[in-house]
Amino acid sequence: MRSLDIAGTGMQAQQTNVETISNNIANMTTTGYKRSRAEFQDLIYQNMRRVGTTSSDTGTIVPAGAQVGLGVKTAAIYRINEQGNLEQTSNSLDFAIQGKGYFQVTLPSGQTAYTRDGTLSLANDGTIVTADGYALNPPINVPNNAQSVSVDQSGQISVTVAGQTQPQIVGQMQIATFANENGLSAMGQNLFVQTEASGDPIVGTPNTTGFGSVMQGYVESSNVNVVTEITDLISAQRAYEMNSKVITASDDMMQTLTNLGR
Amino acid sequence: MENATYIALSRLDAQQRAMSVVANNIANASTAGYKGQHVLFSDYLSRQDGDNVTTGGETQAYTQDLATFRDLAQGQLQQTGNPLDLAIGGEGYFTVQTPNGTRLTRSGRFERLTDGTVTDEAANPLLDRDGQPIRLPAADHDVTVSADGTITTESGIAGQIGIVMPQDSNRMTSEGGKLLLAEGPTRPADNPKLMQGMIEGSNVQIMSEMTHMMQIQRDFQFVSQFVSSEATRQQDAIAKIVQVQS
Repeated sequence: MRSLDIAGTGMQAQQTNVETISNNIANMTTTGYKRSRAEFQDLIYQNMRRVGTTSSDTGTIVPAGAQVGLGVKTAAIYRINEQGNLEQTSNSLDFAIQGKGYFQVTLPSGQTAYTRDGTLSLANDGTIVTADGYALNPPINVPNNAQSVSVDQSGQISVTVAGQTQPQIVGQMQIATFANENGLSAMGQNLFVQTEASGDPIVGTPNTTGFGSVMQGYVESSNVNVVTEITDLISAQRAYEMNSKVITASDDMMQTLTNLGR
Repeated sequence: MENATYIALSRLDAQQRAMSVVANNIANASTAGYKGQHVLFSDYLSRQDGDNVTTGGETQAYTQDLATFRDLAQGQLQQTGNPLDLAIGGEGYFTVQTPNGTRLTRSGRFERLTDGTVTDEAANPLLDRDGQPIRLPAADHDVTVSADGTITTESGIAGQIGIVMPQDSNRMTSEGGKLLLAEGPTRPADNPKLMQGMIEGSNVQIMSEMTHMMQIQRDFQFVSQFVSSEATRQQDAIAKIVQVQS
């Protein structure tokens, strides 16, 4: 019976749906996390009677064909890149991007990764690094004798050194945007890497056209909306149950058929 | 004498297909832009020809599996916030260019490639009113889509999304992947009412599908019971005739 297989594809799809939702809920408080959504497609169709066939010699055309769809498949799990809420932390090395763009960090392998997580700190040599110790790209060094670090909206970092009244500029942050942000591949640890689909990074100065501005003392929280996730979870669970009901019913019908033969 | 069984069997066969259609609806309860399908069965009347038939003829009603029709009701709108997620609030379909030609879809999940071409998830380009792929300037990020489908970015108007109506909504073939092939010409939709940052979900009403499924299941059991009792009746008849003769 076809309906058994069809309901099977439905259960698989809803399972993927629940997995995506639970990852969103698990990352509810992850800085810079962007929620994902599973996207489904109907599978191919079997034509029992083609649309537009004639039903008589005079050329009467049947109003609709008879088609049976063969289920569902997962088409994509895509990220929703809406801005997350900005949370004030008052930490001078916490940065958030308001608008488009990613901070660039250099991985130990030398590859550049991209992140919206601007929870930064200083390494022992004064370099500004992420929570995992990866340096910002281009690297910025804060002198040992710096008393305070300040960043303006365009990402220019200046420090005040003991004994000097004038702040001293130590570096300029660069952020990257992509033609297709959804094409970035998530590698975990709040990091993304570029792919064929995302295109090459377009690197620029924050707060210029097309690039977001840098906010000091803020971090961007995840853009997960718990209420939406929970309602989505409930409907996914219901849909899963319904598909299993279809399996039970189809099984029952098969049983009836088997008994017929006796 | 066996006709009763064959008529019942035609019903069983049809109900089995109805079950597949319901299963497909439930499986696609989360597919964006999916429209629920329903089966349309009709009686198939066959006239018995022959000398010994009384005038007026006797008819036998077989169940004939005629068509599946699409329920075109609006699906639920879900907010996603992605600038290229579009839902059609009124009538009409998006058009996309596939390797096999132009196809229609209600699913408004679009992305853009690195060269700025707006495509669906299978990388089929979204078409504008003139049937040309829509291309956004690659460096632009602020994409605004108005209710009539006009796309505006930082550098001005980038095109107008073509929303079309088929000549006859019933004469469309589902090809899977949310694509529909329209038989016959299409015309621009009058009032597409496009909404940005939203997706039209599937219009499958899970509760009514459930009750429908139970109905099919009961009907199937009833008819199959009829088949087996008919078999018993025939067997009894044969046994009795044999008894009388001997």
